[in-house]
Formats: sequence, structure tokens, C-alpha cells
Amino acid sequence: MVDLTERVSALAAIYETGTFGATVDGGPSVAFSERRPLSIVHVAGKPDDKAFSDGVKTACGCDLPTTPGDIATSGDLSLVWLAPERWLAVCPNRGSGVLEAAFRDACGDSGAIIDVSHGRTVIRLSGANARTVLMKGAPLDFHKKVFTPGRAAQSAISQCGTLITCPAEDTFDVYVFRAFGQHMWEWLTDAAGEFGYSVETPAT
Amino acid sequence: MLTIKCPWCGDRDLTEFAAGGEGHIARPLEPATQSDAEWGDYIYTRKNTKGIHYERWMHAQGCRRWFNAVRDTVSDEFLAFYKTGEPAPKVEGDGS
Ligand SMILES: [Zn+2]
Repeated sequence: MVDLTERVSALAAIYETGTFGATVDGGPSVAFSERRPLSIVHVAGKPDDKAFSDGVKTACGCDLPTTPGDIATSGDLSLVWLAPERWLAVCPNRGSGVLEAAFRDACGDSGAIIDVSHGRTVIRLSGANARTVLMKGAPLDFHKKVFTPGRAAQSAISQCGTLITCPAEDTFDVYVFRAFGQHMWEWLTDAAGEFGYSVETPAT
Repeated sequence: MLTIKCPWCGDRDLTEFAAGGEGHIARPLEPATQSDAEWGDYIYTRKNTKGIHYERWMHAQGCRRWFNAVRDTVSDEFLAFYKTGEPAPKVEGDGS
């Protein structure tokens, strides 16, 4: 009997660890990995509604970031500003529906909470040339002093809507709809070919 | 490369945006009372301005919010950006 609730990565058919692309002095300067399994919850509500903002704080432990493009963190959870009145909560998998339920219980009717854990593919790039690879794809200001750790932006790479976050120095997470996951993986690894890149084991 | 300033996200590339045509056109509050001519005017009639144009834009591949902009249709230069619901700013050269 096939367990239909088992989560299978959108990249499962093409994911291969190792070293690829050009042979460069000093070795590969971009490292790829898929971030999984994750709990990802889309959160919408009015930040000036106390029931909502208090509920979010109760559910995830941090205040709503209200500055466009900011990321708040609490332990292993990140709360990313997507748009006015919209955020994305991301953390290592807490079990089916657990993070969604935490938000729904705490926010009640004050927020619209949707579990999108199964609907996103998250690709992590790190290393000296990770920023350069993203510059090839998205029309954002990726200057080191502008796109800094704790910042995020929605944009497009190869015409696919993406959320790009910078969780740490020279480390970036690219979120796409699951159906675009394989295409985005192929686009990004192709763009990294000239620098040489490694593919690491998936991790959260 | 043309840069557009989303009132929330800041300066972004044109390719992230969708143009929404002339701004500040209010939908009739009682559509059922409109004559065909009045409704047709609401749907179709636009100024086709040469010069200062008040228009709508949407940050389609960013925050997906609608907002307003003032653009010179001759030079394609943007003169102002403001949120939906805010009054239109007066800009130099606006003859309307
Ligand atoms: Zn925006």
C-alpha cells in the first residue's frame, strides 16, 4: 500500500550529490542543497489588529516584521515579510499540520493561515559566488550592503516567481512553487557551472 | 533599464511590474442605474494623454500590491509614486 501522505521532494528524480561544473583553482565556490523537510505556513492578517499580532507572537515566538523585506527569527523559525499583511513562517518540519495549527489556535479568526509546506521547493545556495549566480537571474539589488542577512525579496528568476532570503552571510534560500522546483534547480546549477559547484545532502 | 518604485518594496526593475492603465477611475456605485453609454464610458473611455499621466501599476512579481504612479508619456519618465487611496500629487507640467 502506497502511503499517499509521504512527502517526496520535487527534486528527487534529479538530485545527485557531488562536485560538478568547471574545474577551478580552489575548488567549487557555490554549494547547493535542498532545504527539507520544512514546515511552511502562509500567514495573512492586519498587523494593527492586536488579536492577530499577539496570536502570531504566541504561535511562533517573534514579533511580526513590518518593514518590507525583513525577516524575524525565533529559534529555528523564520518569519519572512512577503507583502503588506502577508508573511511566511518557515522552520524544520514539526509534523503534519502542527505549525499551521499553532497559528490557527493562537490567531483565531483574526488571521488567514494556510499550510503550504508541500507546495514549495526551497533551494539553498552558499559560498563566495552564490550572490553572483543570483545576480544572473533576478533583477534585484544584490549588493553586499543592501541584500544582507535578515533580508528577503520576492522577484522572478527565469520568469518563475521566487522568494529569495538571505539567512546568513553568502547564504541564500530560493523558494519556488513546487512545480517549478526542478526547473529552478536546473537553471541555478547551470548558472553556477562556470564557478564549479557542489551538491550537498538535503538538510533543513 | 527602467526602475519603478513600489511604495512598499522600493526601487525595483520594470520587469517585476504590470501596468494597469489610467488611474483614479471610480467604479459607478450603482451599476444597475447606468445607461449603456455611461457604462461603456466607464469601461472603455480613456484620456490617451500626451504628457503627464496618472496611472495604475501592480508589483506583480513582488508584493502584488496595486499602487499609482505619475508618468510623462512623452519621455517615459516617472515623476511620482503613491499608494492607492492617497490623493494624487501635483507635479510640475501637469495641465489637467
Ligand atoms: Zn512591492
